[in-house]
Amino acid sequence: MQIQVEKLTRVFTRKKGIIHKTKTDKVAVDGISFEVNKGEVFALLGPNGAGKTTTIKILSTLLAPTSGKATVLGKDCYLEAKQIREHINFIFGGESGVYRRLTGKENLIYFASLYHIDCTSDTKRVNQLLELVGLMEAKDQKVETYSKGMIQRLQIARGLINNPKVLFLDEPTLGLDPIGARDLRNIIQKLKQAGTTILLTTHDMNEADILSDRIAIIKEGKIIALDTPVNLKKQIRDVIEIEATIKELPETQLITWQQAHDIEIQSCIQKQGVIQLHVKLQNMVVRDNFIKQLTNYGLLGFQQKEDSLEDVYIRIIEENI
Amino acid sequence: MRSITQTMIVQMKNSFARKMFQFTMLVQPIIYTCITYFLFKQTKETNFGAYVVLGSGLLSFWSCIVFSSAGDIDRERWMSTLPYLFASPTNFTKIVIAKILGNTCIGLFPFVISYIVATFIFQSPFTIAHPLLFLAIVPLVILAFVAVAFIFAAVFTISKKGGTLMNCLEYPIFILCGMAFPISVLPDWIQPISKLLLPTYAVDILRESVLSIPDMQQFIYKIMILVGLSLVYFIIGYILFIQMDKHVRKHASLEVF
Repeated sequence: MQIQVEKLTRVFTRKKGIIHKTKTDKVAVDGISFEVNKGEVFALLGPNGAGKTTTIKILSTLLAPTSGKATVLGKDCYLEAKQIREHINFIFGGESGVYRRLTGKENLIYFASLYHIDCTSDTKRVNQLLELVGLMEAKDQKVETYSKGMIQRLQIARGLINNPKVLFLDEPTLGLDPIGARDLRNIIQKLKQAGTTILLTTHDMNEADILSDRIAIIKEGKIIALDTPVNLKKQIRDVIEIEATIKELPETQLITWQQAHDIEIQSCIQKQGVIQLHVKLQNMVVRDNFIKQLTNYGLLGFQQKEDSLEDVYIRIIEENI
Repeated sequence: MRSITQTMIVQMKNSFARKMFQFTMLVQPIIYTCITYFLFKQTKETNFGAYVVLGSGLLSFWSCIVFSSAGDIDRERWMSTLPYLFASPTNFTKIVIAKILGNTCIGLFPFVISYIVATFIFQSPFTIAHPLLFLAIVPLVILAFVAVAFIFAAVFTISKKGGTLMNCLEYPIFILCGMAFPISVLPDWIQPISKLLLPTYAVDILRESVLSIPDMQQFIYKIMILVGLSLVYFIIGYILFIQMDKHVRKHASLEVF
């Protein structure tokens, strides 16, 4: 187990006023528990302020938990932070977190020294990373001349400087163009193949779907769903939508289907000598029976509509399933 | 060791790149030299050049220390680089000391500027009464200023109001520590505060080694206080850094928001 989180809670206390001081507590993370295995990509999804970044900050030794336990590589994130730091790294999305008055290469050489990477191997490592994130051409330019996407790519290189065993990515594709985002996804896939454990937060559902082995959906500090992307989609699927093409369809059969309580005909269009049906079915048994009946009318083909992770996410968040 | 030298280099590059720092390091010593020159010109002091160079050099040196070593923590917080330094395997205290050393190195440059302006432009006489003692004392004085900056850096890491504190500290320390004129001219009730401040002794012994040492026993006594107090400041700073490590993680003060 690379990451273990048990009943983790973090409360932020805000003080207001000078004479009459008032304290307000905001529960950012509310007793969450999860585990991440070696080489797994685990995504934390949720609306802004749900507690994703706070969780990452606790795990990356930047924040103390109010209660509960968080361990990375078997070490307590608060009490044994020093033993963890050499083996982890983190990337927060956005344009900050690098020295703008230094060049990209100078930034990486500096962070390499902080991670005790020796002088002889740091130039090699820095050049490898610059090549990986496509900044080789701009390595000697000051970061203040970089575009938003270039800074983000430099952040990624910085986060990989120590070849971390566990990598925390907080909205890593924020500000990246589609090609840059695709390249980062490829980097994450390669890291995963190399056995790096990755904890990722993102608002890009497609990205989470492609990259993650498991997903936790977090809302108001609590995990409200946790499973593989496939199972999450199954979990919320209460109707099955299919689009079928058949040769013929008697009027009486269409009426029978329209009257059935577990079949909902969305549309029935005759086009270029064939009939196109769009149907919603109650469950898998109904679906299988329906397909059998369609074969009697010259079934030419059918397609089952898949729910996207975005559909799943919206339903889970809005309906708190 | 490499992390220390790299931090010093990065610190110097970052500081040099800032307009405010360039002003503090290059222009401010010239202004201070002019002011102190006209202040001391009318005195009967024959070696008034020493007053001018030391006074203006120390004023600028302090500005560099307070605006950078301490203020840089706040700057790192605004650049969001502070969490990355804090969570790196290199001890954060070590990083801060390296930053202070980097600034101290470039903070010595104003002395050179003040010397050039005072001796070559204003033709002020400048002689060092006890050159060997002066050379021996300079490292102790630098260490004393590093000790002060170390405490400030710890406080500024804990507090998010570093910028305000920094601005409030520059001028009172000039006056309280006798950087431009002796503390004996200050009201009696203020002088005990000066006696608690490390730069007071640093400035005093530095000035005596350049001008003249009226009482050698007293001079040695002041050096001992300087060394002892520096040690106390370092211990306080170290304790603050240990506390800071817990405090920033409990109160989330590594970032601006």
